[in-house]
Parts: sequence; C-alpha cells; structure tokens
Amino acid sequence: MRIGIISFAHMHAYSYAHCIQRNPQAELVGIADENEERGKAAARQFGVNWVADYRSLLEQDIDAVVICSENARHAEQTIAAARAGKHILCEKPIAAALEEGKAMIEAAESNGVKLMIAFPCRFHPVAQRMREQVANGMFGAILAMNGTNRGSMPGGWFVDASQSGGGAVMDHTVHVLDVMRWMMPGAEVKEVYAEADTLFHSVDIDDSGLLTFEFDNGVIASLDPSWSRSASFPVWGDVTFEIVGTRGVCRTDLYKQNITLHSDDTMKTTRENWGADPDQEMIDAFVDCVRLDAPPPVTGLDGLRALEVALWAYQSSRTGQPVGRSSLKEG
Amino acid sequence: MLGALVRDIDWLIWTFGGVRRVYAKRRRSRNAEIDPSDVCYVSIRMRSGVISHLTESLTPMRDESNFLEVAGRQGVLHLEEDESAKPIRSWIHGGSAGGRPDYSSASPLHSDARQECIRQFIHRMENDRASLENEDAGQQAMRVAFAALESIRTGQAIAFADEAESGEERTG
Repeated sequence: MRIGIISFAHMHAYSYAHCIQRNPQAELVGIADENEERGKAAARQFGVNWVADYRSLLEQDIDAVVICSENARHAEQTIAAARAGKHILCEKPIAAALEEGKAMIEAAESNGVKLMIAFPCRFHPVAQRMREQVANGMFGAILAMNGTNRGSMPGGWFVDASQSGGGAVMDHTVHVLDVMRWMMPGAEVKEVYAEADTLFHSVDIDDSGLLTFEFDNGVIASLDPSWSRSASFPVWGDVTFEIVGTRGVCRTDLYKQNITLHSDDTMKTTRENWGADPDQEMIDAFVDCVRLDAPPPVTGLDGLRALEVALWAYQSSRTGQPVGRSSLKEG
Repeated sequence: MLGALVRDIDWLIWTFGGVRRVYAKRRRSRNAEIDPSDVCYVSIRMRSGVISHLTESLTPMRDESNFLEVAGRQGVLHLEEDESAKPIRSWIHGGSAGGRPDYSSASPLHSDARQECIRQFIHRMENDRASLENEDAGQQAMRVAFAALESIRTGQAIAFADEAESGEERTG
C-alpha cells in the first residue's frame, strides 16, 4: 500500500512516517509540504521525494494519504484527496469547524474512500485493557469519568486561531472525549460546562481549561486539557482516566511506563517512556482497513463528535453557563 | 460530601482568594446500600482568574486517593498519595490469604494536620485569642459549597456578585 504524507506542520507526522516505514505492508512514497525547508528535511530523513503542492502528490500513484497539516487546512486537503480517490488518515481534530468536518465526511462517502481520524489513544494497550474491563463489567455500571490530557504549549501555528481553530481546549479535548465515547458505545455528550482562559503562557489563545460535562446515559465527566506542563516538567504531558463504577474504581495513566533519566546534558530529570507505541498500532490499523476494505476503526463521525464538544466548551466558556445539545443549532 | 467540599474549598479560598463562579455535577449510585459510590465534580473560577477543579468521591479507594496539582506560569506542583511513594512498605511472610504475604505501608509524621490544627487552636486560646482565624472563613467556604450544591440542583453555574460573599476578605 503506497502512502504519501501531506504536511509535517503537525509534529506527529514524524512518528507516523516512522510507523509507515515499519509496516511491511506499507510504503512511504512521498511528502508534500508547502514549507520547503521542513518538507525537504523530512524527505531526506525518510528517503523519499518532496513536492511543495499537495495536489502534485495526489496525482501520483498512491493509495492513501496521511494529513498532518494545520487544522484549518484539513478540510480542503481531505476533500481534494477524496476526489482524487485516495484513502485518508487525518490528524485530529478532524477540522477547525463543524461544517468543515461534515464536508470531509461527505466527500469521503461520495467518493468511496475511507476517512479515519488519528486518535492513537484508542490503540494504547492500557486504554484497551481498561475498555475490556469496563465491557466485562468489572467495575459495574459507569457513574462518572475524570480525564486529563495536560501537555506542553506547542507554539507555532497551534497558537494562531486562524490556523488551529482554538488552543488547548481544541487541541486536547478531543483525545479524551474520543476515548470516553469509545468506552461507552452509543453514548454521546449532551451538555458541557467549561472554563477556558490564557493563564500560563504569553499567547493570544486559550492555554488552559476545565470541562465538566454529562453524557446522555447519565454519566458525568470532567476533563483538564490544559497546556499546563512547564518547561521544567519531566515529561511532555499525560493522558489519564479515572472511571467510577457501581462495583469499583479504575485509575489509568497511559504514559506511566517510564524510566527516570537524570541528565547533565539538559540539567533536567525526565521520565522516558518504555511503554507501547499506539501510533504504530493506529497506522497498522489504517493500513489494514484499506487493504482489507474494512470499516475504519475510528470514523469521521467520531472525529466530528469530539470536535463538537470542544466547540461547545468554548461557547460555554464565553457565556458562563452550560451548553446543551438542545440549546445548539445543529448545522 | 458537603464536609469534603468545604474543606477543599476552604483551602482554595485561603490559597487563591475569593470565588467568582461555581458549577458542579454529582452522580450517585441508585442503590446506596449495595454500592456507596458518590461522585461530585466541581469547577470553580476564582476572582484572581485561577481555574480550579475539585473531585469529591466516596468510592472503594477513597482512603488512598488524595491528589493535588497546582500549575503555574513557572512550574507545576504535584502531590499524589501513591503506594510506591510511601517511605515504609512491609511484606510479612505467611499472610492470611493463601500464603500471600501481608502487605502494609506507612508514612509517619511527628504531627499530622489534625494534630497541628488542635495544637494551634489550644496555643492561641491560651496565648493569643485575637489571632484566631476569623470564624467567617468557615462561612465563606460554606457559601461556596452550598452554591455548588445549588448548581447540582439547578444545572446552572452560580456566580458570586458580592466579593465579600465568596471569601475575598480572606486574602492577604
């Protein structure tokens, strides 16, 4: 299966490129990046060709693309790829706006290609074990969930609202939301209350937030998506969950399998992860769903539902009151 | 639940000043006799701009779930009562359950927070009654806690219009 990568604007592109090259059924064919310096460097690193215009990449003999551009470019590039008959793995969030996400889903469906959203947390064995235990009733019926996806401030286009669509709340809400929805098949968020602000960094976008919300099955939840990890913090961030059920409690930390490194080079103590690589599992799953013509394990609708919650959080933060599905105009 | 809320809110007001807005959600098990689970998530916006989140829960692991994180512009303070962090951990051979060792752990102190509170109270009663904490402190925390309960009941965020009501007087 021949794959191209559209843009290395999102840093996850480097990991995905490695994963494609490690998959024996896949071949990384080329890279398109309008940033010539970045694109050429990535092409050299991975031993493939570079083109500036993604449309040139789409004209090549490839089966699929991985899109890692700025959030505001996802729709344009996904729709172009779909029209060119290429299957698509798109970095999260699906888009910067709901209408864009819906157009992406429509384009994939009408052109008969697969659209998968990059939510690697689902592919982490810690999350998968947690889901198995929830599914087999180990904790009884779920009452409440508490999640965090705290991280470092990424800078660059992430703090430019015209390119990202939002800051920390946009960047980190979607990961945790996706896992929560995946834990409870069929359940959807019905109401969101959020505080969002710029508290940690000198940027013109939200870098902190706290979401309190409720699913339509009655489960209450909270989430910290803040870019609150300081430069001195020993690790990039975290993805954690606490599930409270009628029979027990489960507390998980997807990136807790670490070894502590004390380095005189950096004059910093860091925690280096030795756990599983969910990116590899996700790329392998994408390759398999295209090769075997199976449904994508994470759909465009999954991406859209997660984006909805992030956008509702912004709306709630502006009004100071919870925002419910019934109080919103579905576009 | 109210008692736990008041204690944590008191600490928040003492550390970060008054409260601007409160929103809360609560979920309890339907059959409390079989399952005592009771979870409450509270979102509090302080007047200083600080965003805070409280998790109050009555669950099987409540005795070992104390957690605190304070994130600022120049660093992060993190405290978690983790078993592996206990300074004394013991395994005794031939334990009660099928030969598995009995496990115990301890983190002893000369004086814990409750003892220190009583000691301070007695000391000030005997020597410096004027410096005793203003009893209004407790009332301010109670007002915020009751606002959280009102938010749970109404589904709305509760805003504090009057700074004095939310504990602003306690700063400084």
